[in-house]
Amino acid sequence: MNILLIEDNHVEHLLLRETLKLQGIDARIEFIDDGIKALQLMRGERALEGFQMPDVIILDINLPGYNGIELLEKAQSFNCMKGIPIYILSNSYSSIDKTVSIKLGVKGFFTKPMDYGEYSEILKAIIQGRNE
Amino acid sequence: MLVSPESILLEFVFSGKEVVPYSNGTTLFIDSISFQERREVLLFVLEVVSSKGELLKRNTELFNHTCFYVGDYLLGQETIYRFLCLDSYNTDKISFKRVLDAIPADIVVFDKHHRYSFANRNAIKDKKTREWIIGKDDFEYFSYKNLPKNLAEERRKVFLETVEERKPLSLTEKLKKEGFPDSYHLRIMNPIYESDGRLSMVLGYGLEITELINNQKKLESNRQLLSAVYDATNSLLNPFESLAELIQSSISRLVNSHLFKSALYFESRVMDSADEFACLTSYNSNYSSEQTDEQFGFKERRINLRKDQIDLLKEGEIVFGLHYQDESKNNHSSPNRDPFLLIPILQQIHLKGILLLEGYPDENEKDEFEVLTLKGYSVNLASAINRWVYENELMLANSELKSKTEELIQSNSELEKFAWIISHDLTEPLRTVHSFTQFLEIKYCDLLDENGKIYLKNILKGTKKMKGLINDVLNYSQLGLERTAQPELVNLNTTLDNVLFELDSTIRANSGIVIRKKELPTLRINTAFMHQVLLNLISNSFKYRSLLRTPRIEIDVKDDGLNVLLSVSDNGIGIDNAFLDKVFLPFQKLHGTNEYEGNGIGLSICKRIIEKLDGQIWIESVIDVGTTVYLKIPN
Repeated sequence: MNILLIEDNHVEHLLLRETLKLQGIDARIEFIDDGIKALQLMRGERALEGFQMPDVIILDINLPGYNGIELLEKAQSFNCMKGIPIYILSNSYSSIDKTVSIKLGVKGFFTKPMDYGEYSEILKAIIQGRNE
Repeated sequence: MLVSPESILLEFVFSGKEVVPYSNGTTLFIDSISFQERREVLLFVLEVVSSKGELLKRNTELFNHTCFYVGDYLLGQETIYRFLCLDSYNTDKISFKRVLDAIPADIVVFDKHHRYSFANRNAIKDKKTREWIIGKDDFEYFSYKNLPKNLAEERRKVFLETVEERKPLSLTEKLKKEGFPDSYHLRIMNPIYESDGRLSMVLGYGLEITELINNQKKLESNRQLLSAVYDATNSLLNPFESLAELIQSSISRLVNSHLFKSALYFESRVMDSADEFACLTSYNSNYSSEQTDEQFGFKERRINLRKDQIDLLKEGEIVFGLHYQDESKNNHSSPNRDPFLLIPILQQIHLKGILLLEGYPDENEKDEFEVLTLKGYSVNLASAINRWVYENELMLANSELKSKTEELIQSNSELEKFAWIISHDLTEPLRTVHSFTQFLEIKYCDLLDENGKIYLKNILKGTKKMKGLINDVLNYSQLGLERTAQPELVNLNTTLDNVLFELDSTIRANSGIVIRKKELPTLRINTAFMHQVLLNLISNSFKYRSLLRTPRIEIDVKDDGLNVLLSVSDNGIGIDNAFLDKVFLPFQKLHGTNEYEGNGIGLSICKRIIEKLDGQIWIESVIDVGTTVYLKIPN
């Protein structure tokens, strides 16, 4: 399984990676820390650099460049993004319109900050969601 | 010479004689046929014959039968009196002249050319003039007496009109006499005709009506004053921006009535000592109410009064004066010569101010009614001033209180926001510390000795506790931020089921626990709030269960139409009643951390939520028996 974490806080990268390891989940994880890079990847422009299309995307809302919602809107029109589940990872400050997000194909919401225990839980949920 | 008519009448009635003579020879005659035959109405014929035998009067009168017989002989008596008077007039030959002279009115007789043919003593007091005037007219009389000619012309006009219209006409004359007040006279001219309709003479009579006219004038001025005072009092009821505006608006109505030239309100500078007054507001009929004193160049007006005047005013008496020195005017000008009056404005016993009305008739003409009216006005003005001052103070205090409350709400809300932001921002680094400590424990625990492992455990225990605390602060402060939370129709049964589901593991861990619940109502509230409340209360019941008996929790409800009374009861350890109020304070715990988990925030969150719903929350508890928490929520 390929997981793509679009998040500018590197602590989240580390936490997710460590949780995957400690939980013994068989998954590859890629990180992108700004919206512009994320858009390039979504368009398939980064494939040459060795990026693979992910199986699951975890998307932060507050990002440099394009923010999470803008990315969601753009992803709608990319064929290569079809069928890839996207989970929103946001802090409780950002008031995201959940209804709009679900229309844009969001699979779930997680609220930051999450600790090791909580990351373990959501990873389980993601795997379960993929299997369904 | 008059005999008692009563005796005559009695003799007449009882004797039944046809003719009843009496001593001086006058004869009363009764028509006996009418008397006997016409029972209902009697014809009573009366003849008065003089001692010389000539018939002076013969009269026929109708008498009421009953009246005559029952003994109410007053009617008869009156009639007899009348004849006796006529008789005595004729026999004594009292002249018209004597009668006319005796009448306290001016009586004159004019011929048809408006020449005097008679004047009584009252009309012309001087005997020589009275004789001189016969055959003269008013023009000659007025020139003789050096009186204004226009008055004679006026009289001639009315004379001609009277004759023309063949009916009495009148005129009122105002006479001025040096050194005397004006006098008023009513003159009536009454034409008298011969039996063939020709004008015989004109009778003129006159009455002095000075008092009547003066009373009418006084009445009119009283009415005007009353109406002005009514207006001035009424205007006191309006709302005003300033005290000066209130007073000015009221006193302008007194001046507008034209009873006074101007009005000035002086305010006492020093309370109680009251010997210095400065003008607060003034109104003058010469300038409009829109303009202020400053525009008229009065920088400040002051009056200084004599001690006796001040003393009278302090007693609530109105003071009359002839002039006063207006200090604001330059020294060259003469003192104000207008009569004035000073009306005291008392605040309880203190002379608060003085109302000065200029141009009032001086003290000699003061009228008790007017003084009372003005006193009544002064009481109203004083009370309006008091009310204004009081209301103004109250308004100031109110607005101060309002701004203080707003400040407090603002600072409270800022504090809540601050608490929320701080606690929220703390969660991120804390999460990092906690998670990586966990990683450390999982991955590198084996590298540590026993001491190191204990340290690591304590770090994790501390971060876990801190996480709990921060979450509670977050929840508590969030309640204040979520003011806009929309209420919805919530079925409390569903909410309770959700709560019990959330507590499922706890309930299962305590097998044997008894939970009894009634059918709960549907309320218009916020689901999340109500979930939080029930969760906190039921968790508490679990947490503080007694180890001596099977835990039992009962959820009950009562509805009186206005309020829903929910209760959560347990048979737990109970709360010492001394702490019943304290348990609602945030972070207030009654037990050591080692005994029971928690941060002491649960009940304070419940209290905040219930109070947000305009409800009430309270606890009844008995140590070692159990606790009941009541929630009263408006329906």
